[in-house]
Amino acid sequence: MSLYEKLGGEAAVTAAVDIFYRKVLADDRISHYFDSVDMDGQAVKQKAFLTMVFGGPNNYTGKDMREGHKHLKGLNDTHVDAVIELLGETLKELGVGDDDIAQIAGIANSVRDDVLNR
Amino acid sequence: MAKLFYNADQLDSTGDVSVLDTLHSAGFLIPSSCRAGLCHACLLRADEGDIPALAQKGLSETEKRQRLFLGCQCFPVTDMKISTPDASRTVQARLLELSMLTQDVMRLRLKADVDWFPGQYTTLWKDASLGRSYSIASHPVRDGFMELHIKRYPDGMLSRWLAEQVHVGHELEISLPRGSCFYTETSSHQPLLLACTGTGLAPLYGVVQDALGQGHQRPIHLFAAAGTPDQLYLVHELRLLEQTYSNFHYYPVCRRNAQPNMQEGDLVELISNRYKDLKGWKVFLCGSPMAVKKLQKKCFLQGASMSDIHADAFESPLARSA
Ligand SMILES: Cc1cc2nc3c(=O)[nH]c(=O)nc-3n(C[C@H](O)[C@H](O)[C@H](O)COP(=O)(O)OP(=O)(O)OC[C@H]3O[C@@H](n4cnc5c(N)ncnc54)[C@H](O)[C@@H]3O)c2cc1C
Ligand code: HEM
Ligand code: FES
Repeated sequence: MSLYEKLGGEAAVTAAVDIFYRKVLADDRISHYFDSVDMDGQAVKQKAFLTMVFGGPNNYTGKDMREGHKHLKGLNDTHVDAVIELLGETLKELGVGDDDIAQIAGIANSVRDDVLNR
Repeated sequence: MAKLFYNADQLDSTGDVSVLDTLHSAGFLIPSSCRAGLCHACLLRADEGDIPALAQKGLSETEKRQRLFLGCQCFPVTDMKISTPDASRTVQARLLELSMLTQDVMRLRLKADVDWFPGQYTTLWKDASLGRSYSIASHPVRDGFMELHIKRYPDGMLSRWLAEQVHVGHELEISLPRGSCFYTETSSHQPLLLACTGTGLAPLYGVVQDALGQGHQRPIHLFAAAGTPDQLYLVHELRLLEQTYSNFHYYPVCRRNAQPNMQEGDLVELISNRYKDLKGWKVFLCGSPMAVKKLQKKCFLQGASMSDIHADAFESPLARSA
């Protein structure tokens, strides 16, 4: 069974997106990147992010990650760290075990260089 | 740069221009209206290529499986081969009644052989390329007609045509109703917060009556906002409902010149100051896009779950492309 299936698949993503997105919007370090008025559009992208780091089905390549983040001005390691931190808090609240959290953080971390375009 | 193949033509597409705009610029007549992913007039099919998730937001599972997507919401990431699906369905609706609710809000009652949930919207077509979406205030069985509240703009392409050229007895063309702004029994245990500006009252009036009709027992709070008191409508009907149902509360809000039994101020501020904890609430928001989007975010940050917030921003295609 894949990590994504173990977590509960799409239902797990849906449960996590509420908690995670609320944390992101409330976090001064990164909220300005997500502050567009189109919340529905953002929610779709949050789901894409969570599906990806849960190891779920997605078609994103490293190149997509570069393209998708290069317009975000001033993005650096502290922002990636913040996202991974909030992701960890979210998963803890949902009762996900430490090993799985570490694995998910690892997936997020694996695209760090692409996201930061270096 | 991704390539689009449409019929025999090949078009270049950059990721920041929608498939709809690319086809329009090339001179193809693809129906469209809201340009905001709401009316589904611009439905297309991808015969090859990846469909970005956003382009299928709000589509049914069946539609997704048929590889349909919304042209106005599709920013291609790969090459795509595109075709037009079988004509999207419209039906005839006969105008039964046209009256004024305020100086510039018309009430249309239509007879149409379709089904809907009060609060959903339909798209009304002047001709094959000019359509606008309007929300439904009535119940298909209890009322037996489709009621729309339409604000008339002096230079509004559809609303002015309706006001000046359309008369009782005329047959109008409408799309099948859609949208998720309606009451379901699954919310019977939740308190409801409904907030609107202007004709955003149409769908919410439908939702409130449907909830009460289905015996909703938990609190129902309706905020209806307008610029001045004379722009509020259905005030009398809503006050009567308030007297009949102890769990229903109606709060009219005006920007200016509020009368004693109304609140004065900004709808977004009023709501965010008054509802600090919306955990467990079901929220319905309709009307001006700015107000709806601000409220959507506020309500989410103040505890309502994303899936419990139904927001219909009354997007205007002209305002968006301007
Ligand atoms: C899902 C959905 C549901 C809707 N439900 C309703 C409804 O129940 N009742 C209703 O009245 N409308 C509703 N609308 C808005 C409606 O579809 C049209 O956008 C509106 O009626 C204007 O169309 P028009 O052809 O008359 O004006 P247009 O020819 O499109 O516009 C004429 C002029 O008015 C301006 N204008 C248009 N709308 C606005 C606005 N809101 N604020 C400021 N300027 C504006 C335009 O920029 C333009 O200059 C809804 C929209 C959507 C997407
Ligand atoms: C940690 C690894 C990260 C991964 C795996 C990731 C993944 C994704 C994915 C899958 C999307 C959706 C792309 C699309 O479909 O358009 C996305 C979009 C986005 N990401 Fe990330 N992301 C990461 C880090 C970050 C960070 C650190 C920030 C900023 C603090 C950020 C900000 C955004 C924004 C703002 C969007 C939306 C862009 C737009 O509006 O088009 N991401 N991300
Ligand atoms: S959904 Fe694309 S034009 Fe309305």
